Amino acid sequence: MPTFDGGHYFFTGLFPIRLTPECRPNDVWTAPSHVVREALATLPNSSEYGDPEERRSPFARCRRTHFARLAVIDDTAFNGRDTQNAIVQAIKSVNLLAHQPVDHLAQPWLLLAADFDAADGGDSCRDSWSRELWRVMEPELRAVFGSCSEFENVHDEATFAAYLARGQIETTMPFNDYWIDPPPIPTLSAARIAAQGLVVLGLFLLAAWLIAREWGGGWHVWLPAILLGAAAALYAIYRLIMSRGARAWPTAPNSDLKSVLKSAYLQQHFVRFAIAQQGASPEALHAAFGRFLDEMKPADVDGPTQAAGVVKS
Amino acid sequence: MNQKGCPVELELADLQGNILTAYGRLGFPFGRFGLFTVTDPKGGRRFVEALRSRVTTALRWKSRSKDIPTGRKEVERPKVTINLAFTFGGLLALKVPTRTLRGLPDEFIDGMAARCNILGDDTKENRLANWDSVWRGERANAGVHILVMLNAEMGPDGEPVPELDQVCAEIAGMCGDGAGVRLLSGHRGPNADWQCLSALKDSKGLPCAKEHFGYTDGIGDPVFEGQYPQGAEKARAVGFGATDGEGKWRPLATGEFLLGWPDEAQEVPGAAMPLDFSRNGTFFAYRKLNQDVAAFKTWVDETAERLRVAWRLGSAEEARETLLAKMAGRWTDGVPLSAAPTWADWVKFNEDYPPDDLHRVRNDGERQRRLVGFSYRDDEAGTKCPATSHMRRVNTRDMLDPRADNPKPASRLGSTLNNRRRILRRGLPYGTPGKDEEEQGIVMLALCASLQRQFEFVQQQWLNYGLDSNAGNDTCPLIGNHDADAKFTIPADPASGNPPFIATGLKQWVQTRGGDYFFMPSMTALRMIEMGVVDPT
Repeated sequence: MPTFDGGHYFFTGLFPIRLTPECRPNDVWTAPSHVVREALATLPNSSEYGDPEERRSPFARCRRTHFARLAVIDDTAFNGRDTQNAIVQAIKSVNLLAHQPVDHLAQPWLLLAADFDAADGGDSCRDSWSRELWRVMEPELRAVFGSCSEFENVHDEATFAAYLARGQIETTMPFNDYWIDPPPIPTLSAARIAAQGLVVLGLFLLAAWLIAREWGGGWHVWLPAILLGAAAALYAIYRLIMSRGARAWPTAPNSDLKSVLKSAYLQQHFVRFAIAQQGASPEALHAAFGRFLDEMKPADVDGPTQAAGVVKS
Repeated sequence: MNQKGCPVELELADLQGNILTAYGRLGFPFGRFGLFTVTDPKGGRRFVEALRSRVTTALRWKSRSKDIPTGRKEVERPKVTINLAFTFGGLLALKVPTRTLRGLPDEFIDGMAARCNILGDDTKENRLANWDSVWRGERANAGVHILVMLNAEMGPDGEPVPELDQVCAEIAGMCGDGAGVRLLSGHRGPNADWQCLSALKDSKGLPCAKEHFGYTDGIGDPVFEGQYPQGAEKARAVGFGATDGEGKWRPLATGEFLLGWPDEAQEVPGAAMPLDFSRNGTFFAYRKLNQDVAAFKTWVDETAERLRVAWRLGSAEEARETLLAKMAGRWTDGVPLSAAPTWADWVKFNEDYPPDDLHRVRNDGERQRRLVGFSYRDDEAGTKCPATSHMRRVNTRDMLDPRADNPKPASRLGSTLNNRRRILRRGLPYGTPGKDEEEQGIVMLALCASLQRQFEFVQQQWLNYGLDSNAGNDTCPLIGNHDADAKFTIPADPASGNPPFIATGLKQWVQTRGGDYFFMPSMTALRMIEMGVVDPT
């Protein structure tokens, strides 16, 4: 289930944007997709160290969100005519000048893709994140989603959570970057795969044996049993491999946002500490490191830490 | 490439002369670069016409180096070489057709100043406002259009031959009111009209390959197919070309440095049409880089003292030379750290393979082979040569091989991720050593087929960033941008018992003083520009 992987929920949602032009406060009629794009263009999306806080992404106010991306999808890509073998077309007398139908989306869609810390892939985890977003960035969400169909029914965190849930689609390719070393996932052994196949095949052979014993039989009993049994065994192996592949990866150590921020903060300060202590005597180094630990509180993810949404502390 | 087919034979008379070899190495230790603006297209074309027949091509004269053949035709060695290059604004001003202009690359159309945020020329310590005034004119109006590059031999008095002054006067005489071309003024230095360049001299007063910080420069330039007549580049590819996982070397593809030829992606990339406008031409970045020698030396002395204490080194000189070597990747005489990681190794290297002359690099022989024939596979941690040293950043060799750990050499990728990021370095220093009241530095010409893919990538990703060196935001200790947090980490060999040394307080020793992106056309394209007959249809 790639929507939940590595201790992170990967949300993907598509929200239809209205087609009827909107009248802006300055009495100008504007395409709703334009309104959405304008809201996105003015949404702060990155912030350098030292920038004023209003330059920081509003998603940084939610201390669970790792990444969030918003984009407008206007239409499906047109890949040109469906082609066929030229000889087949000639035999079928296909008129190459006759236009094939071209498919379109009925309206533009707003894409929201985000990943955030979650205990599991359950709907309640998703909804609690949606509710938190509404609490910390309602004005920005209204500006972005305001031109989406049926957003007029959203008026509080519960209705916003229901709105996001309704637009959710399955995430098929999450980007999980926090495992530095390979995670402790047991490899499916050849013996386990063979056992899966042999058990299923054995069941078919057992059935054939019982039938043969009860009613007698020769190749017309054994051959179908072997063929069907082999096919069923292959299918069972396929299911085993696919079910293992669909299992979520375990949570990487210290990969929740608070720990990631703390670790970025500690790394930067430890570099400065190491520079300052070059050549120090063991006693002085020991004492200084004690002061460093007291000040930095490495175990306290809420303690001195890097602000969310900036690249440097 | 071309191992079985017909080898690349470049038409040397169609190429401008300073692409295949640096003039400084060929005995032209002086340069004067003039910048011109075109005020009338016809006048501009007349100016090009007047100079075209005098342009120095890549035809070779009698070589002092025995191992490089001179090719089908040996020509007389000039006293002064002349070469021409154009900015995008120049081609526009000379009325090259729109259809040709729109085929030129974005970065060339933008020009170097507009790319300042990519190149790191827009930081607090390195600003466009510091550029020489000659580069700061409006591009559309009196901007830099044509670059005339003159290189000269040295006369018996140690000065440029008198012909250099004559040629300068002659060219300046072609300009002025009514001529349609104007010589732009505003270079910092002794001559505001011409950027004066000269190689540094050794203790015997002879020109040498040193630059102002004291390093021997220009050792490891790429070698590519067709660079020398009769396939002579194949024998010179070791250390200069591309290496595979087994450590075998080959010359790089011609198309990495000349337009219209297959490149390292095994394709002829798109170029401005018609193809004969682009073919055999190339692009280059002209970068005037000011070196703050006094601040550099002060910092090196202070930091070397700390390194001496931290690493318990024998003398101040050893500490100083070690620090300089770790920053550059080579000892100041060019011996690579990969071949001689410690002071003692360096001393022994020079005993085993003595240089033929102080500061100078021989073109052949075992010493030269060892100066360039090395890789980084056995030094992933950088305990010999730091991964963030200048040389390892600009030419990563096999450092980025994603399959370096593969036990089968044939499965490794060698320098694959480096082969499309190479540049040819041309140019000369300016300023007088010791005269700190004058500015000193280097005018570097970085030649390549794609300024964006080669020059800009190296400048942005490898010099002003450290991710590919596993060093976060750390920049090149020598020529990178240095903010208040700048640092340079020198890994120590664990066997030495020393801790890694972190050097801090790096200053902005190198500041850009100007430059632009230029197209250096072939002689064919030069004729088309001059005659106004570029036919892009």
